[in-house]
Formats: sequence, C-alpha cells, structure tokens
Amino acid sequence: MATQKLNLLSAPTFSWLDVNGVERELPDASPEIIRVNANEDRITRLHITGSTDLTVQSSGTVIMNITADDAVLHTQIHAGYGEQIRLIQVFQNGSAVSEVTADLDDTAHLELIQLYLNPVDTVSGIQVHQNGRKSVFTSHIGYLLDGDNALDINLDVVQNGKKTESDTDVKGVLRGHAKKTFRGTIDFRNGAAGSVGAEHEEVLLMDETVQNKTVPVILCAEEDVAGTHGASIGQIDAKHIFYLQSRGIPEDKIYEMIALSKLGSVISKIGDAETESSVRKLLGTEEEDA
Amino acid sequence: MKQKTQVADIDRSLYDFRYEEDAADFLSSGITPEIIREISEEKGDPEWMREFRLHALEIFNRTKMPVWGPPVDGLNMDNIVTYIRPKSRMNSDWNDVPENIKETFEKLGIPQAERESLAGVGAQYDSELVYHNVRKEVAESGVVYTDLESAMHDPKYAEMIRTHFMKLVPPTDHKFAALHGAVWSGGSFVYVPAGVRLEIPLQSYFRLNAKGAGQFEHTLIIVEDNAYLHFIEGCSAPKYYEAGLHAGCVELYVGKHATLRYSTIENWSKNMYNLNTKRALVAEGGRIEWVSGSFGSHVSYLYPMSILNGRGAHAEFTGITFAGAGQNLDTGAKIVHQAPETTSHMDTKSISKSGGISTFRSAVVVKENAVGSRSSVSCESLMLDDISRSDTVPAMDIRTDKCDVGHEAKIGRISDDAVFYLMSRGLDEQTARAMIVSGFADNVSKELPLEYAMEMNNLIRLEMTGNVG
Amino acid sequence: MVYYIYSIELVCKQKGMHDMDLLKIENLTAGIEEKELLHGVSLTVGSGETHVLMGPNGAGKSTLGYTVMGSPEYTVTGGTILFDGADITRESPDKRAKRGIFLSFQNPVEIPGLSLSDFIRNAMEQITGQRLKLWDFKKQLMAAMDVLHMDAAYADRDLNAGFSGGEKKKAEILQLLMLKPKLAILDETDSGLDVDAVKTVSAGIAAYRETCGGSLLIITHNSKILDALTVDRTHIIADGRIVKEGGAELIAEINRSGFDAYTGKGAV
Repeated sequence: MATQKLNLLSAPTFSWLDVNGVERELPDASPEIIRVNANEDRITRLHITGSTDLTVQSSGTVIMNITADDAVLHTQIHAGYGEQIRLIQVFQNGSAVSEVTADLDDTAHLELIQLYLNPVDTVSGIQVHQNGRKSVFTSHIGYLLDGDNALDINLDVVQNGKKTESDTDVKGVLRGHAKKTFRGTIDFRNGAAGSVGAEHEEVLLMDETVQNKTVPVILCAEEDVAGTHGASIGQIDAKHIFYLQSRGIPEDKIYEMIALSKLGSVISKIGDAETESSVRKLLGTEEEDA
Repeated sequence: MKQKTQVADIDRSLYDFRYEEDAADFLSSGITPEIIREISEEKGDPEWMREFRLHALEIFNRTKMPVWGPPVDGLNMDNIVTYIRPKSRMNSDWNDVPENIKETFEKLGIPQAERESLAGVGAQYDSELVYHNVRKEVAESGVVYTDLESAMHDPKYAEMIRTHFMKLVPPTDHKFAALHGAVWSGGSFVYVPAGVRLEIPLQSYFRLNAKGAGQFEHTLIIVEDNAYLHFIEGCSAPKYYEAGLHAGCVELYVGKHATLRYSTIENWSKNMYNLNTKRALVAEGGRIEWVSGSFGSHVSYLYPMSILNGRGAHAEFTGITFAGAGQNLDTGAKIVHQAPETTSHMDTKSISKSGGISTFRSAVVVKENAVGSRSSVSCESLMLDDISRSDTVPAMDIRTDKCDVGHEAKIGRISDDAVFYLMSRGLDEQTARAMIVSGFADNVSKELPLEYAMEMNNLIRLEMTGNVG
Repeated sequence: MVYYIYSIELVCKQKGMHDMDLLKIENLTAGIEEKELLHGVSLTVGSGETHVLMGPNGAGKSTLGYTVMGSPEYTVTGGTILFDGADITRESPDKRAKRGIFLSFQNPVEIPGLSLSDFIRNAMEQITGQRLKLWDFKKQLMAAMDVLHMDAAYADRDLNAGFSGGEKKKAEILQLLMLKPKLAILDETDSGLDVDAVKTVSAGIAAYRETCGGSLLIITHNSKILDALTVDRTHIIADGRIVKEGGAELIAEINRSGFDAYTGKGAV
C-alpha cells in the first residue's frame, strides 16, 4: 500500500477549500492486462472485478461494468485519425481508483459515458488530450450517491489542436451523507485556434447532510476560442415542482422522479439496449411489463 | 479629453524614520524583533500593539508561501526588510520615475505637482481645502473619519480598535497577513454610528494627514446598525513606489440592516507585488457591496471576502481586472454563507492583453446552517490576443440541500462582427475595439460614481490605444 | 390520416356528476408579494360548459389561471375557490389535479431524462391511484398522439426538452387528452402557433370535449381556436377585475372594437 495524491486540480487554489487533490492508499495488486481492438460494428462488454490495465484502440464501443473493490483501473485510449471510440463505464457498489487517459488524433471522436451508481468510494480521473486538429470529445457523466459514500472526479480536457470541440454534461444526485467533488477543466492551449469547449454540472441535493464541491476551471492561452462553464447546485426549481404537481404528482414523488431523470438522461446516451436495461433495473426504473 | 484626476494618498515619509542601518545585519536575517520594536516605538504603539506586532512576526517567520497563485519569485523573501525600509526612497527624485509612468501622467493630463506627489517623490498635493469641507460635513453627521494611528490613541476609540483590529483577518490567515500585522503603518479608521446614512462617499485620498497610506496601510471601518456608507479607495492614476510590495489589509464590520459599499480602482505601478487582504463581516439584514477595478501591479493577489453572518445578509461583488504586458493579476472574491437566507451575487470581467495574465479565482461556501441561501456567480473573460492568458478557477463548497447555487463562466474574444459593425459606421479598428472593451467593462463602470467611471474608461482606452482620445 | 380517437377508452370522471357549478371563484384577491393583481374576481364555470376569458395584456388572465391551479408564485389574500363544491383555496396543486383541474402552461418546463410517456403514465397513475398496464397505456397514448399529428417517436423523447414552441403546446394538449380532467384551463394555448398548428390543437380540444365532456376555461386573444367550439359564456377581465360578462357574441364585439372600452379606470 502506498499513499498517493490523486486527481490533482489543474490550477491549484485556496488550500482551505481542500479541493486541490485527494489522497488514497493504492493497493499493490498486479493488474489484469486487456487489449481491445474495438470494431466499429461490435460492442465489447467487459465485467471488471479487479485491478485492470485496459488499452483501447481503433473505432468501436467498449462497455465496462465495474464492480471491483480496492481496485486500480487504468484505461488508455488512443483514437487515431478519424476514429470514433465510445467508452462507457458503469461504476457499481465497490470502491476503485480509476484513471482514463485519452489521446485524440486529427478528426478523432471520443465519447465517454460514465455512470456512478452509488459506489462506496471512488476516485476517478479523466485526462483527455485533443492534440489532433478537429478532434471531438463529448462526455456524459451521471452519479447517484447515498449513505456515507464518496466520489471524487477530476476531468481535465486539454485542447491543443486547431478547431477542436469538447462538451461535457454532468448530472448528479446526492442523498444521505454523500460527499462528492467534481473538478472539471477545459484547458485551451496556445495554438488551439477555432476551438470550442463547454461544460455543465447540475447537482440535485436531496438531504441536508450532503456535501458537494464543484470546481469548474477554464484555462486559456489562445484568443480565438470560445469556452463556457456552468454549474447549478441545489434543490428542484419551484417552477418544475409546480408543473409536475399540476399534473397530479405529489411533491415527494417529484423528487424521486427528477432524481431518476437526471440519471435517465445519461443512461439514454449509452446506446446499447442490453446495458441500458440492466442499469435501469439496478435503479428500479425498468418497466415491468414492457 | 479628461483634464483632471484624483490624487492618491501617498505620504513619502512612511518609513522615513532614521535608522542607523548596518546592511550586513539584515541581508540574511530578514526582519528581526528589534526592527519591529523600533517601528513600534517610533509609532508610539500602546503595549498591546507592540505585543501584537511581535507575535505577528513569529507567525510570519513560520508561515509558508501559498502553494497556488502567480509566482512571487521577484520578491526577495529572505531580505523582506528591504521592502519595509527601502533605502532608495530617501534619495528618489523625479528623474528616477520610470518613463512609462511619466507618460501615463502626461496622457491623463495630471499637473506636474500632482504627478510628483503620486510618484511619491514630490511635495504632497494640497487638497486641504476640499478635505476641510468634507471633514465638516462628515463630523456634523457624527461620523468618525481619521487615520488609524491617531484613533488608537484616542481614548474614545482605543478599545474599539483593540477589539476589532485584525480580528477578521488574523495574522495566521496567510504569510502576508502576518507581515502586515508586524509592520502595518498608516491607514483609515471610519466609524458610522447607528442609523446615520452618509450621502457623500468618503474617499481615501482626502486623508492627507494620515501617516503613510502606502504599502502596509490598515483600513478599519465599522458601520453600525441601519447606517450607510460608501467608501472609495484609490484612484485611476498610477501610484508609483520604488519598493514593490504592497500588503495592506481592509477590515469591514457591517451592522444589522446596514449597507457598506466599498469601491476600489487600483492602479499600482507595474513593478508592484500587490498582496492585499480585504474582508467584511455582515450582520443580519446587512449588505456589503464591493466594486473593484484592478489595473495596476506586476503581480496581484486580491480576493475580498464577505462573511454573511446574520440572517438575510447580502454580499455583492462587481469586479474588473485588466492585465496588460508584464502583469499577472490573480483576483476574485470569496463568499461564506453562514446564516440562513443569505444571498450573494458576483459579476466579474477580466481582460488579458499584450502577454498579460489574468486569473479569476473565487470560493463560494454555503455552510450547514445557511438554509434558504442563494448565490450566483457570473464571470466573463476576454482574450485580446494569442500571447496573453486568462484562467478561471472558481470553487463551490455546499453543505446544505436547502440552497440554490449557480455559476456561469464564459471565455472568448471580441467578435469580428461587432468590430465590423462599428467600423462600418466609420470608426477605425483600434477605436472600435477599445469601445467594445469599455462596453465589456460596464458592469463596473455603471457601479462607480460618474467621475470614477470616466477615469476608468480613460484608463481602458489608454491601455487599448495608448491615448485617452 | 386515420383517427383512432374513438378507440380511446373513455372513463370520464363526469359520469355520475352532480348538477352544480364545477368551478366557483368568489371575490378572489391574489398577487405577488405586496402587489395585488386580482382585486376581487368572481367567476363560475358549470359542468360541461365552455368559457372564454379575454382581456388586454397584464389584465390578470394568466394570474387567474395559475391561482386556480395553486401556483406558489401567487398568494391568495382573500376570497375562495370552490371546485365540485369543495374549498380548494389552500390546496396543493397535485391535490387540485387529482380533483380534476388541468392547466396548460404557456411555458411548460423541460425535464431532460424524463420521457414524455413515462411522465404521463406516472401522472395518470397518481391521479387515478391505480396501476396502469403498459400495453393499455401505450394504446391510449398512440391514439391521442394521432389526433394531434404527433410522431410516435415523441413518446420517448424527454419531457419538453428541445421541443419547439408548437411541439410544447401539442404535448400540453396530449396531457389534457390523457389525464381527462373535469376542467381544463388553457392559457394562451394558441399563441405563437401557425395556422396548421392552431387547427391541430383545436382538433385536440374538440376531442377532449367530445370524449370527456369536460368544462373549458379558455384564455385567449385569438378567436380561431374557438371556431370549432360552442362558447357558453365570455368573461372580460381588465386591471384584475371582471368588467363584463356575456355570451359568445362578446367575442365578436371584442374582435371588432378591442378592449379600449374596458381599460379605463372604473370602466363598467
């Protein structure tokens, strides 16, 4: 076991906020090594139960169903010229330290979908390097956290190439004593002319004992770029409550519905009926007599 | 064309006390308790203040530099004493003032006497007459406006100062707060009694008799319940100090249902390390309104903090930062919601040009008991070329579900369409861009008194085109 | 186009209804914070009747609709709202919906991640208090969507998210057809719609009348939407007061002469 500082914030800030990184002890497990040469027509489904080193190359879809405890996961992606890779990670129950690193060549497209279904203690880092001209990164991240569970995410998107695009949409629900930190960085490097980047996080807080930290960073060393960042944290908008109530739905039920809708919008991006259905079953939203 | 400008409060004699220095003693040891005792003695500090300074020095010596923010390598921390007692100051004359500062004075149309005063090398600019009038009106309303050192010796205020001085910003806050605690000198004390609403803004440059509103000045303002005050600090003309460290401290106490508006246009000369700490404590139903323009300095660390301590307290921060060549300006605000139904709003703009670096940094904290609180942050950055840099580093820490926190950030450039539109109406490109940038900054200019807003626009125009036009 | 509307299972709440006023507003005063917007409005809608509420901008039309639905934005300071004989003045919106009141919103909220069909099914189950077989529900939904010329794919789209103005209005009328309320308050349902969309929405409203026989309170500027309906009564509201009431003929009069006669202080 070795203690390491993980998920370092791209631009450190006020120390007292305690958001500059997180410390974890990493197990010395020897990882299982998996190489996926994905195929455009094929979906590769992996069930990850322990430490893993995964390499993904060439176009295709890889779905990782993660139920590992005390595991370290490295996922390395290289999207070559024009390749389209979709990586879907579903974190369940256990605790893991996960790191995704991705390099995007010219016109490559990486779509990352992450779902955190109340994992106990997860540290998840995502490093994306858009060195390629016109490369595209889109991500949809959803989390539902309850009990004493903790989640620490650090997403760092470096836009280096010309005319790159990035778009990140995060939706989450916190209940009980859940603790969550989300750091999201859009980093426009000098030379990334014509690039655009957007990121948005929406957090629904459902109990007074939750703790939410949100750190949306934009770094910019290029004139010809457009970046936007947004976050909204709190309760359900009173207008939403009134609308749903006016259709006969009582308030406590509304919270339930909206909470599930946050995850639902991420689930529907998975694009694999089998996985979507198993995730909905886990959440108890699968229709019983479809 | 603007002819007149405001004059900064500079007292050349700040650290001008005699000291038989033996250079060899300080070069490696930095500040010693002996130096602090000496400063304390020259100022005639009461006993508690001398102890306070010595204690702050201990804290300074054991506190590490911050691990974030712009580099301060240019500051010689091993020999910080040179910033406190610059030798060169005593011999400085107009010829030593850098050319670019002289040009700026010229372009802003400041008379020679004022220029020398602002540059800290000439006689004090005499605005005694204006000051008298203001002083009369202020005194009639029961408001106390004096320099902090005199107030500390006035039996009427001594206790008030002892119980408030560096209580909001303790020396343990950070290394430069500790330094300030040890060597502070000069500054303002304002006391607004309950229910008094002062209609005219108090401007720090009126206070010319103050000993050294300069590098380590301390501002302490107490606004009692239901009172109102607008305090204006600084001015648009550049303040020049050869020794480039400013570590001031501002502590504001806002009573129940009182309002304090604190406006600053800061234009330190571009060799200055501006490591300033400002903080407000707001009671039930009170309001703190910060209006802040940062144009000067080589390096700035500036994040006025609002602590919303009573139900329904409100904080507002409106700011603009313009970082040009050779500048690294790290600015923003901190807001702590620690009472129910408190509200806050932050609206900031930053501009980076000619290799300048601007960073917007913020923290919004909503504590467990701040139920029903609301906070919104909007920050927008403009990149004027591709050799500059603009970073946005906000953070939110939310500990209750019954709140509503929003954050919006945007970064981009001047739109070609906008420039084309203005040019199609006959403006040259430079003027068109300057106008667009002024418009971008209107969140701050519309919050300032007219003459300040005009000065700020002139300053922006100067940065953009080299002329006030 | 095949109309499946007649295959919709008609379980309308009107069956066995009592012979009395459905909605009875008495001397209602309401407003936002300190500002009073309704200054003692009284208005009655009988079962199965179609009423029209007209008035200039800012007269209080929408305020009245939202207040009847129980919007927390408005505070009732006086008077009562009776529905089916029960005092609902202080009831929460979901309880009013269960009693059979429906309000179509001018700007319905968008909820990404919640599909239109899941939402409607949920609402129907809440209102009826009964589980609804998925197959039966889908059949009804498709039939209703056909009436409104809505593509079946809309059922799985997120509630109002990314819908155009016209699509949102249709989605509101779809909910009206599915929830089958006793009273539907339609707030400017026709505003911003093109001619074809107005026709479609009108067909939806007509279907609601035919299948449920429910009452209508239509807030509108436009008489087009009323063409297919028999209007029983018209109310003119100005400056937070009902200033004139009459039959369908009032609509033509307003179309001819506008509201000028009613907007002056103390008019009528």
